[in-house]
Formats: sequence, structure tokens, C-alpha cells
Amino acid sequence: MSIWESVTWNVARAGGFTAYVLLTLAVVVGLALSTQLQSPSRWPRLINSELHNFLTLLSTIFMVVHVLAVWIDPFTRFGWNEIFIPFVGHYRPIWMALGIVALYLGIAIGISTWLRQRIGYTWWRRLHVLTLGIYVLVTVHGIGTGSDTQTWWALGIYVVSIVLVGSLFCRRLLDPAGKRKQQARAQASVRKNDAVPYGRSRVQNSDGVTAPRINNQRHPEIAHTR
Amino acid sequence: METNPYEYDSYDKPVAWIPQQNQSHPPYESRSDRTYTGQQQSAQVQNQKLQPAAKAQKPKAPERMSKARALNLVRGFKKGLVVASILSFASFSGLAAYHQVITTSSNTSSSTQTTPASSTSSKSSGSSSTSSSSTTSSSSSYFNQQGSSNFGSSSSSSSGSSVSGTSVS
Repeated sequence: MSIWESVTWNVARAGGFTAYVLLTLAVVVGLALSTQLQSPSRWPRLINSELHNFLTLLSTIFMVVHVLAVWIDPFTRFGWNEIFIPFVGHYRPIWMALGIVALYLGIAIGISTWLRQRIGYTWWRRLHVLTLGIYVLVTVHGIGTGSDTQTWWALGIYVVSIVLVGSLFCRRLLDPAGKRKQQARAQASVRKNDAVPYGRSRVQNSDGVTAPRINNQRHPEIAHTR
Repeated sequence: METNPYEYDSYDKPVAWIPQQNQSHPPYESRSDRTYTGQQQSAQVQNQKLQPAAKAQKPKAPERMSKARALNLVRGFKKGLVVASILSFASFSGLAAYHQVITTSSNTSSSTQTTPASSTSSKSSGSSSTSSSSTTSSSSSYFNQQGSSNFGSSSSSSSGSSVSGTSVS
């Protein structure tokens, strides 16, 4: 075996594992965003959001390294069609196809994030649920295709990753979306009440003064000009 | 269009509510609203009197982290992530290479041990073929290492557990 073959093969394996670890972290932070694991004073939502984006970007970079190294590797001799078309490859076509499908799903979700302003939040969120499918596909692809699956360190990576994502996903399922929406609505209503400078509820609650509600009370300057 | 309720918009939006006593031009001074401006002022005075007591009673809420500080933290985390990912890439390369070397060396040693007595080794492994020369075993070990046992034969390499040492899927 030549040195070049060793280098390309090792780079392909290391790139795949690094991309997988980064994808795991991105999914974990994304689930933390979804379950609102945050603290306004210590760990605000901004940090989770920025880290989620950056981890996804890093994972994509190492995924590209993984694909390029597999393509360059002179031993496996994968063609472009085997890398980009599912079930065409001569080497473990089913497991390889899972990785290829995950790649396309990732591209689709990336495009949906890029076009989020146009497609709207609802559709973006619906498409974003597919990231869990990507995670599952990539995990099965790694376990099925990877030549290091039976090593202790690869098994450790897979186990830790599945436990982390699984526990957060269970937490996400146990904390239903309706409850979170109710919390969000409650927060929004509190903000709205705060936005009324001389609203009836605020006056009643804080001062005990019951003033009649006037027209355009939310924008008193408009009433003033009229 | 539905908006994102989980967006971190509180950093970019100005504070909506301004305390009454801090407003310089209350809108009640116009037109018919003047009827209860006096009540409002008296309430404000009462409120100002009651404020110190209320402040003493209420537990102080934790301060929100400022956006600049959060972005500073994010910048540090990003640098750390880049360094950590490069380091993990290097360590994974090392582990893969180490695994490859171990497998190759174990295969080589086992092949040198089994070459004189190929028939006994084939019996112990239970495989039907007795051809276990050093050249074929080394090439098959690389085949195993690459995880390409499915290229040609389906299970011949996996059956030879005594040859491959650590079987690789």
C-alpha cells in the first residue's frame, strides 16, 4: 500500500468522524434551542443560535473533506456517479446510499435556511425537522459503512452521540410544543402589556387607579394629534 | 406570515414600556383626558412613595447578559471550536492510522506464523480454502482495512478470524 493511499483513506475516515462529531454537536445545540435550554443571564439564546450555525458550517466543511478524500482515494476508485447517485456504488451500496441521501437532505435544509425569509417560518421549521432524519441516516451510514466501527473509540463516539441526541430528543418530546407555544404567547402578552404605557391593566395593577380606556390608547400620540 | 416565537429579538428591539414617572410629556394633558390627570398625578406620588418598600420586598432579578458580551463569548467559542475540530481531525487520523498499523502488523505476524502450516490454520479458521500465502493475506488485510470486504468475496475475510486479528466491518 502506498503512502498516498494511506493518506487519502485516513483523511476520509478522520474527516467523516470529525464531521459526525460536529453534526452531533450541531444537533444537540439545535435541540437545546428548540427546548429552550438557556438562561438570559448566563447562557442567552444568542449563543446557542450562533453556535448552532457555526457547528453546522464546520460539519459541512469536514463532510466535504470526507467526500473529496473518498473520491481521490486511488484504492476505492469511486467515480462521481458512485459518490452522488444512491445505489450505484460497487461498495456497500445501501449504506453508502444512506450517506448520499443525507447529503442531499442537508443541502435541501441549507437552501431552506437560506430562503427562510421567502418560504416563511412555518415551512422552514417543517423542513428543519428533517435534520433529525439526517442525523439518523448519517449514524447508520457510519456504522454500516465505516471500517472502524468495531474499534473502541468509534463505538464510544457512536454511543455518546446517540445517548446525547436521544436524551435531548426525549426531553423535546416530553415537553410538548403546545406548552412551549403557551409560554411564548404568555411572554408575548406580557411584552404587549408592557408596551402600553398607560394601559388599564397596568394602571389597575400597579397604581390602583381605574381610568377609562380611551381610543388609540396604545398610541396616545395619535389621539393627541387628532 | 407566522413569525418565529423563539427568535432572540429582545436584543434588537427597543424597550417598549417606559415607567410613567420618567416620561416627560404624558399624553393625558390633552383634551378630555385632563379630567383624571390629577388622579394620575396623585397615584404617581403614591407610587413614588411606595416604590422603595416594593424594591426592598422584590428579589432582584438576574441581569440579562448584554449583546456585546454574548457576542464576545460566541467569538471565543468559535475559535475554540475551530481549534478543537482541527485537533480532533488530527487525532482521528492518528487513531485510524494506528488501527491500520496494528491490523497490518497483526496480519503480517499471523501470516508468517501460519505460512508453514497453512493446513492447520485453515482448519482452525474453518475456511474451505487452504491458500494463505503471505502475499494474499497482506492484500486481503488491506482490503479488510479499507472496509471493502464486500468488493468481491462476501465473507471469506471475516471468517478468518485468526488471520485478521481485529475484524473490520
